[in-house]
Amino acid sequence: MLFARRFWVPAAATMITGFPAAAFAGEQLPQMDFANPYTSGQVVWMVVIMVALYYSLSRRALPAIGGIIENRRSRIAADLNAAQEAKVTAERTAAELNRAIMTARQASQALIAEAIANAKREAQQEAEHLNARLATELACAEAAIEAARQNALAALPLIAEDVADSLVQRLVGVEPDKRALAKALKSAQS
Amino acid sequence: MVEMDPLSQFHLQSGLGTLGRIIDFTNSNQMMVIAALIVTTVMGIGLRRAAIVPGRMQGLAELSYEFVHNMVIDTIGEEGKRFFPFVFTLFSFILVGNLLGLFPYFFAFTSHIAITGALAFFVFLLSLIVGFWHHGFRFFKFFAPSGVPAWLLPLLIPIEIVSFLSRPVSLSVRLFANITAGHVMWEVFAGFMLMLVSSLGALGVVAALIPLGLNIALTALEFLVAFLQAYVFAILTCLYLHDSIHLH
Repeated sequence: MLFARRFWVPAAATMITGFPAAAFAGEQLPQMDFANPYTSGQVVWMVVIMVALYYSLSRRALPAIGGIIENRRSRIAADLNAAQEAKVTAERTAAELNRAIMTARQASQALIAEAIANAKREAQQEAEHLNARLATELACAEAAIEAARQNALAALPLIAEDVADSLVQRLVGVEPDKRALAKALKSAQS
Repeated sequence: MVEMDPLSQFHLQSGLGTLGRIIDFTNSNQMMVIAALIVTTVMGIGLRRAAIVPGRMQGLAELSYEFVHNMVIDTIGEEGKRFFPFVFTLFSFILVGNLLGLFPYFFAFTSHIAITGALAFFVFLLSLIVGFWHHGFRFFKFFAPSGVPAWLLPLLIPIEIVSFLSRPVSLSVRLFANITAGHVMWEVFAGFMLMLVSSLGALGVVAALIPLGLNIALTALEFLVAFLQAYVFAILTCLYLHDSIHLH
């Protein structure tokens, strides 16, 4: 870059300068009229004007503009920084939120599983309890039936004897011998 | 026949009426004051609001600041920061002077060799002072670049010295000749138009359209030259200061 500029600027300038310089060779230019005191005198005033311009620019305008540009640059950098930080914070918050959701979900699932287990266990206990009571009641009932049956069975020979006695009295008209009757009944039973 | 003197536009007169005659204030100095006022006004208005998001005037001020700032830093390096206000003053003064000179009846002070010569001589002097300030008498090594075979030195050193001494000459003549030539050509074409009209009548009016078109095209060229020459002057100043600090 620097290399190129060093050479093309003087080269281009020489070309631009060469043509017009030849155009008015030999004519008297007012610029070359150094007998006129104004020709060199204007330089003195130029020095005054340029010094004034230099001071007003270098003391006030240029530092102020440089400050504005620097201010903007730092402001943009600060804003970018803040945005970056906000992004990081937001990402961290989002991650925390996700983690919290995961934890809550796991906790709730554990609670649900526990509740289901409890319910199952209680239902089972209830069922066992009921079964036991039913079994007891069944046993009681069976015992009662058995006893009733035994009673009934025990009463059966007496009834048979009565029935046989009455039958014989109707059919034959005589009172049967009790002992014989009992003997006959016994043989019939077996 | 129309009286025609394309060089009369460069005649120096006293400015500011009687007062100017007493204190030798010329019409070129008048334009310099206007140029300096324009520069300070643009740069002053630009920073009046000091907004983060710049308006037009502030944008112009910041743009010119950064343009010259980048030019100085890119060419000279970080050490060039000290010369930034000087280069900026030089650049803005020459640029506004060139542009003001484009207006009809305005005086183009950059068309005077005394002015451009004084500016160029100051740049030359400054580069010398900076060179000796940075390197002392080792600054003379500038004329004998390192890495050159010894037998070449008797040839090279005179060449380097001549090219160094011709710097202020080329710097001043370049600006002066460009501005002068443009203004002379303008006036020559304009005078040609008047001559055609006065001598050929209706036909001359039609024929005068050709130099008119040339003058319009020349206006665009002079506009470019005004910028280019201010830029060239500023960048060469930076280059010379770079050479003084870094010795090639």
